[in-house]
Amino acid sequence: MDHDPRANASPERLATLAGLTLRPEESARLGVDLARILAYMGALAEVDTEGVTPLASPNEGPCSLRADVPTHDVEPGAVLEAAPRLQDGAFVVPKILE
Amino acid sequence: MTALDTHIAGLTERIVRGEIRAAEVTDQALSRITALDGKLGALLAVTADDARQAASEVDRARDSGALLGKLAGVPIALKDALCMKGVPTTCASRMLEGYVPPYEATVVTRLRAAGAVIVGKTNMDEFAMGSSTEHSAFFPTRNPWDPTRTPGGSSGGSAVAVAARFSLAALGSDTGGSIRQPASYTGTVGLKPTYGRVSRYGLVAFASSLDQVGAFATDVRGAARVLSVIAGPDGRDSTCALTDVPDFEAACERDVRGLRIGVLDEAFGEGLASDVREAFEASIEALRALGCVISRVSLPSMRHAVATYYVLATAEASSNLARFDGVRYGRRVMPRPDASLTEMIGATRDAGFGAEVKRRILLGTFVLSAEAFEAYYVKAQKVRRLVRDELLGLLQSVDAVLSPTAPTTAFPLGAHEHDPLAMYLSDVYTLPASLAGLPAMSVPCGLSPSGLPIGLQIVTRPFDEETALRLGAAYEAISPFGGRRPPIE
Repeated sequence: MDHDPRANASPERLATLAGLTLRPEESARLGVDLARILAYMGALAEVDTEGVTPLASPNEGPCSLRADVPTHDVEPGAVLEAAPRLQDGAFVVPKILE
Repeated sequence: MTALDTHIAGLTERIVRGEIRAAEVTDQALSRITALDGKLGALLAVTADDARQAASEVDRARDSGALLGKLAGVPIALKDALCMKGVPTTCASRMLEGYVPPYEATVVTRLRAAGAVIVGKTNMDEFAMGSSTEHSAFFPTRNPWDPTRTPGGSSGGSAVAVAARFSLAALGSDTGGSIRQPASYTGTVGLKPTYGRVSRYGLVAFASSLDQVGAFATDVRGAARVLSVIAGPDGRDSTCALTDVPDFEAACERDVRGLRIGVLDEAFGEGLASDVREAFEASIEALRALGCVISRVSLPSMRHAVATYYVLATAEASSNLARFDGVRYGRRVMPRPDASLTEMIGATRDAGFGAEVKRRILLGTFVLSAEAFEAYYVKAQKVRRLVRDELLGLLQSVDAVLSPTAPTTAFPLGAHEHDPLAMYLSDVYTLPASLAGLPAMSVPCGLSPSGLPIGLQIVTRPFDEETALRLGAAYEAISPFGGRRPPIE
C-alpha cells in the first residue's frame, strides 16, 4: 500500500513550513478540521485522469504584455514607507543568525 | 424617494440633463451610509472627501459642457481587496491594518476616469476567504433582508452596499463564487466576467488563477455598464486577455428568442432547498415563454468541483500569502525585543491572520508539500481540465447553462462556525465556472416564503458575457423578484 501523505499533515509541522506560530488550542482545532477536509479532498484520487494534462490557468490565449522598459508610476520611496521598520532607505529585519 | 431609487442608466441621464447634481447624489449616498450602516456593517471605510471631490469634478465638467463619462456621478463602492491610492486597504485583515497603498488598481483608475464617485471600501471575508463575510477581522456584515443572516461572501459588503442603496454599483472579486453567491443572497445582480476579461492589477491576490474582478449592480444593464468601463487589456496584468470589449449594454437590448438554454441536471441534487428549486423551475418556464429553447444537460465532473477548487485555491493562497512576513508592509509583531527573524515572522503571521486564513494556508502548504504534490495538487489541476472541457463541451450545444446560484437562501450568521467543510460545500454551483474561467452572472429570480432573495446563475462561453447579459436583462424584466428592496428603512 502506498504511503498516505496525510500522515504528514499535522498542524504543527505544516505551521512550521508555512512560517506560522500556532497556539495549542488552535492546533487541536485545526487538526480536526484538516483531517476532515483532506479526507474529503482525497476523493479526487478516484477520478480517472490518465493522459489528462494539468490545467494551471484557464486563460490559454494571448495576453497583455507591456514593453520591457522601466516605468516610474510608483516611487520607490512610497513603497518603502509601507514597511513596519526602515533605516536609511532599507528594510530593517531582526537578526537572521542564531 | 432619493436619487438612489433608480438604476445607473436612470441616474446618469438625470445628471446629464441637469435634473440633479452629482454633489447632491453623493450627499444622499453618504447620508444613507451614516443612517443605516451601523446595523449592517457593509463598509470598512467611507471615502467621503474623495467622493465629494469626484462629484464636484463631474458637476464642473457638466457646467462647462464637457462630455461626461459613462459613470458620471454614480456612487460606487469597492471591495477592500482593491487598492485605491492613498486610502487604507486592509482586505479585512489585521495583517494589513494601517496599510495605505502607494498605487491604484487599474479597475479603480478606470472607474474614476469614467466619472464614478467612490463612496467607500467594503467589508469582506479576510483575504476573500469565506462565503459569509463573517471572517472579516473587524466585524461581520449583516444581510439587509434579515440582519440575523449572512449576506454571503466573500464580497458581502459590496453586495450589501448595493442592496441597501449606499451605491448603485460595487466592485467585488470572485474566486469561487464570491460575487455571485452574495448577489444571490441580497437580491442584487452579480457578474463575474471571464478570467482575463478584467485586469487584476491592484487586487490583493488570493488565488491568482481563479481571482476575477467583477461588478454588483441594481440591475443587469448597470452591471453591463460597469463591465464596459473596467474591462479590457492591461499591460500591468499579464493574465489579462487581448480581447476587444464589445458593447455590453447593447447586448441587454437583444431578443432572446431561440437562445438555447441548458438546465443543469446536477442542480437538482442533494442539498437543494425546496424554495430555491421552485424559484429556479419557475425562472426556466419564464425563459421558455420568452422563446428560449430549453434542454437538460449534465456535468458529471461537478461532483469533484468543491474538492478540486479547495486544493487549488488553498495552494495558491498559501503561496500568495507568504509575502505577509512583517518585513515589507503590513504589521510586525516582535514576541520579545531580541526575537530572531523566524520568531518575528511566526508571531506576526499568528497575530495578523484569522482562523480561516490559517486553515487555508495550512491546507495549501500540505497540498504543495513534496509528499502530497502529485496526489493532491497536480491531480486537482488535471480534474480542473476535465471540469473545464466538460463545461465547454456542453456550451457547444447550448448558449448558456443555468442553475440556481446557491443551493439555499442566506444562512444564519454563525451557522457554519464549527464546520468549515459545510461552508465550502455551499459553493457547489458557482465553482465549475470558476475552475473553467467562464463568465457567470447571478440575477434575482424570486423571494422565498420567508422573504429572502434567490438567485439564478447564467454561465456562458469564454468572453461571451454578452449572452449572459442578454438573457439576464430579458429575464429581469419578467422576474417575480421585480426589483424588490430590503425592509431596512
